[in-house]
Amino acid sequence: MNDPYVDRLIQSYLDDSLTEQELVEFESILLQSESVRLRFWELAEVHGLAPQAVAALGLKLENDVVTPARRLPAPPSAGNLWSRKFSFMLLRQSGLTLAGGVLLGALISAFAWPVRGMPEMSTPTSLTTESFESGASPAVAGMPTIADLWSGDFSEVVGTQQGVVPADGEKMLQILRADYDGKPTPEGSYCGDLYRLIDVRSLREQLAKQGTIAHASALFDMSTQPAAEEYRYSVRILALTTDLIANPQQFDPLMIDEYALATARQNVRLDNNPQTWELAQCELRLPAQTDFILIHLGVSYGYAEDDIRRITFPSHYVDDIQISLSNYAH
Amino acid sequence: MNELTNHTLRVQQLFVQYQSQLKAFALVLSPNFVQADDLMQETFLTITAKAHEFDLESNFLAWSRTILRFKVLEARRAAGVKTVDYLDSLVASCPDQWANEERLHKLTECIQNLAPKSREIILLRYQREHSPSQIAEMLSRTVNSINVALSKARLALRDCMDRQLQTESSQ
Repeated sequence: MNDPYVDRLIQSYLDDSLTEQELVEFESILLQSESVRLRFWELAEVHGLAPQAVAALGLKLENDVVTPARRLPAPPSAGNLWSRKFSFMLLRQSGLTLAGGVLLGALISAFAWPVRGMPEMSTPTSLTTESFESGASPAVAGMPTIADLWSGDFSEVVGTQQGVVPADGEKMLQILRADYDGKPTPEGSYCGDLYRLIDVRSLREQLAKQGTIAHASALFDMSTQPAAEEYRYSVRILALTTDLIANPQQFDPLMIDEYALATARQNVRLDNNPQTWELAQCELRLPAQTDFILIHLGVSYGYAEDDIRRITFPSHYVDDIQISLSNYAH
Repeated sequence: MNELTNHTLRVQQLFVQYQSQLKAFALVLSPNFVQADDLMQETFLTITAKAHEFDLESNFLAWSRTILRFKVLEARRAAGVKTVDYLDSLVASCPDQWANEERLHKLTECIQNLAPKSREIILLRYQREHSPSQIAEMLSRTVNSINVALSKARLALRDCMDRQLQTESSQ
């Protein structure tokens, strides 16, 4: 026989809505009773699995006027100064307004939409946001073959340093080198990379029927460098198949562009002012056969002098990465 | 060196194999979705770093859950949470088959069959990752009514999963 009071405590714990007093009581009960612990796992199973289950279903909300709780990509403001106002909000504007004129223009020129009307972009669904506030570091293992993990070259989560203040929160990622642990041929490396692989196989039907757009954005900054030094930063999205990822000859940083179904990239020069973060962002319409998208962020030396390549980066930072999807409903 | 690399790769493959279960485990022990993602990232890093210590003949799920538990403890201590005594016994009592692939598959089917209003709340909570108070504001309802609706929906889904698995095993 289950105790309704204990069940309520468990359910409230799962929604992070216990009062302090209830939490103390709940923890005490858990510590004392094996049957309560077993009941906890019974009730918690749906909570633990539900995000994966709804992601697999790719269900859509009716009358969806609500942004995801994780933040949406913000449009660049004048001078690329970064607003810190985010989080939960109700959106009353149309999706079109959200997208911004630049994106709309690019899309209209890229696709031949039916004459019957302008496509309307749905509210973007956030796939992931990262501002490194937990201090969790990316793996130092190059391009990842495991979904939903950050991996790349040597990097470190840091706080304010060398005149650079995190764009969002108190932490940011410092890109340290252009190679990683066990890189087969580290010689000649010049781009400090960060990757994330995202599984979109559950959205295959949606990709086939609708125009699904992947969006990626990130902020970059560096401390003041000598005037002759030039650095560039980039954001890239690649649409990949499972077969490509399973083939080491193709799933290789030097070869992947050749085999990707589609790619998009923005590559921009970093300014020399540590007080301004530069925004890089790009969008890619995902082909129907897409199984995974690979997000690639990079920092590289800009070759003001042709014979110089840098494998280390003195003071280069990434923050506030946002990845989302949106659809065009006709 | 190659042998060590192959061993690490095999351990990483096990991580992929059990990723769904570990994700569910991380979410249940985290106060929110973002921290659950971070826990997974930290756990993967530690599993890779300690891969050489893992015997491929032993229980990967138990080993990785232990690592994840340490990460939870670290995160809670960093956040200034003092009382974490219950965590050891709670983690130890987690059944091996909890939140496995088969149960995930059944849950997916059950969500499709949920009543529309319940499904909307489940989507707002688990797809849009909103808290009950945020959902209440969106739907112009009280927080308490959303808490009740969420609890009922989860119980209904749990019953549905169990029923489907029982039906399968009796056939």
